[in-house]
Amino acid sequence: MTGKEFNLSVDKYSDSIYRFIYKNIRDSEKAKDIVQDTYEKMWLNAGSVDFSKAKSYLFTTAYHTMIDMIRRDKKKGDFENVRMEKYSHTEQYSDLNEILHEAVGKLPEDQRSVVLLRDYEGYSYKEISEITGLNESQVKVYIYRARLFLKNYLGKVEALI
Amino acid sequence: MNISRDNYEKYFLDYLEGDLDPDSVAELKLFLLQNPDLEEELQGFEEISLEPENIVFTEKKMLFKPEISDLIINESNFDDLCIARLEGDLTQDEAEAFDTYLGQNPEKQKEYDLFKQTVLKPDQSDIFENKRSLKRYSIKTVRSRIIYYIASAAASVIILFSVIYTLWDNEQSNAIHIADNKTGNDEMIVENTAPEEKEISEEKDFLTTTEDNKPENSGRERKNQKNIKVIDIEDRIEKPFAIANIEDEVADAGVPESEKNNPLITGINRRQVFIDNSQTLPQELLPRDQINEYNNGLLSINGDFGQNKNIIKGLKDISAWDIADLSVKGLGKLTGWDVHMNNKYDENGKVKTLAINAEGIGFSTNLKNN
Repeated sequence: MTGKEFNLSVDKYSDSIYRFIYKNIRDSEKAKDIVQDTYEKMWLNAGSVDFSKAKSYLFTTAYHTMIDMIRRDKKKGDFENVRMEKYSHTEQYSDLNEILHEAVGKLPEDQRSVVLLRDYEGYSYKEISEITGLNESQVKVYIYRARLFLKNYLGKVEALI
Repeated sequence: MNISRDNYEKYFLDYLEGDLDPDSVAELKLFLLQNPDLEEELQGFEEISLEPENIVFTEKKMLFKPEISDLIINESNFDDLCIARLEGDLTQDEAEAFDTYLGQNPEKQKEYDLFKQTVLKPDQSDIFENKRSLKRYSIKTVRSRIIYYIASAAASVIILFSVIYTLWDNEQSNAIHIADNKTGNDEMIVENTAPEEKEISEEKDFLTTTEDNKPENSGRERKNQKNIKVIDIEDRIEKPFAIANIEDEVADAGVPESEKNNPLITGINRRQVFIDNSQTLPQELLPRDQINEYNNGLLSINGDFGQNKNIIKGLKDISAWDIADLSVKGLGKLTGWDVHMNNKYDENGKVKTLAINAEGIGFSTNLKNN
């Protein structure tokens, strides 16, 4: 990968990666840090990464960096609080989106990650398994469970409304 | 012979179907000569042949399978089928059957619509703003050999021209800086005066003093010089000096060899001496700590920066850094930019960080010194 291709990957994929990480951990600053770390790692390995594989490399690296951060913060005992308290998105969600956003936040990490990769980036089960290190069956199961959870969550809220 | 009256039928069949090899055919014919009754039997087989009849199976319809899949949908699998429908995991037939089922069951359609709402859509307003911080700008490695050679040649020419220009410019300017004695700066002008008189009073600043505080060989170095001008270090040297061989100069002044490195000889505290219109090159007497980016070019051509050695050295002692410094200054002169090297040195006086400053923009890189 040349320097020009590297910078092109910044323009093409940095938003997607940031969005994916941000929706996962709900912390804008930490999401930015992860994006920075991800691109730094790719720069260090630019000579061995082909530009055609840049997107999958970035998502794989970002995902694992995020998981490491989550586990590290869990040990410190403050990650759950951070997740809920530092959510500071300013955009006004519609009711449905807001409910859905809350529901996604309640998913287990693995399910949340795979469903975000599926819906945000359109990755196949196989591609998601390569990014996350899960096997395809696990990916499919997690997506099914996530959808069921989200549907039931929406159903309950609608019933209340 | 392998053929016998116990196994001849097999050979007959193979012979009639053309599956016998030539050797076996010969063997069979020999056998038939020995057994004429069996030859008649073989001839009887050759006369028998069956023709295929055109017989058609009329009940084919019973054999066909229905084209529409009979997908079983019930409460236990409805949720999975909804998700499978969303994820595209159903075959086309199954998907059509499922859609048909939903069309026939409105309450199930509502549930499926709820599943459809679980498909997340990315919020396009979530963007990484500071993309510039992620990007890398590096010097492109020129792979083309031709471009590399051309660039190398061009760089060499530019460096050579810069050095020559700088040297030429030094010769043209004899470093005349007339300090204003009235400004109150600590500087003096000695002009058209009796050299010996003035020099005696000033030489204590230049030369080693003896025990009785009289400068040794006082005046000798000034006898043949005129219009000595002294300025303060604060006055910037706008035009660098030509290279001087201080060893020769000091020797001419009669300073003992052992005193050549004496800072009192090689550096006047905060003074610089210029010789106007002198045939000899000026002696740059500048304390080591006074060397800066404005006068460290030709004035202090000494590869051992940081060490207390002669500031001006002969041409034979010029190092690559000297050339680099000359070329940078030459480039600055040519372009009119304020370009200068501002290297940092380690404890051994070797360059550890190469730094070039130009018009407020700086480039630096650490060097590996083995």
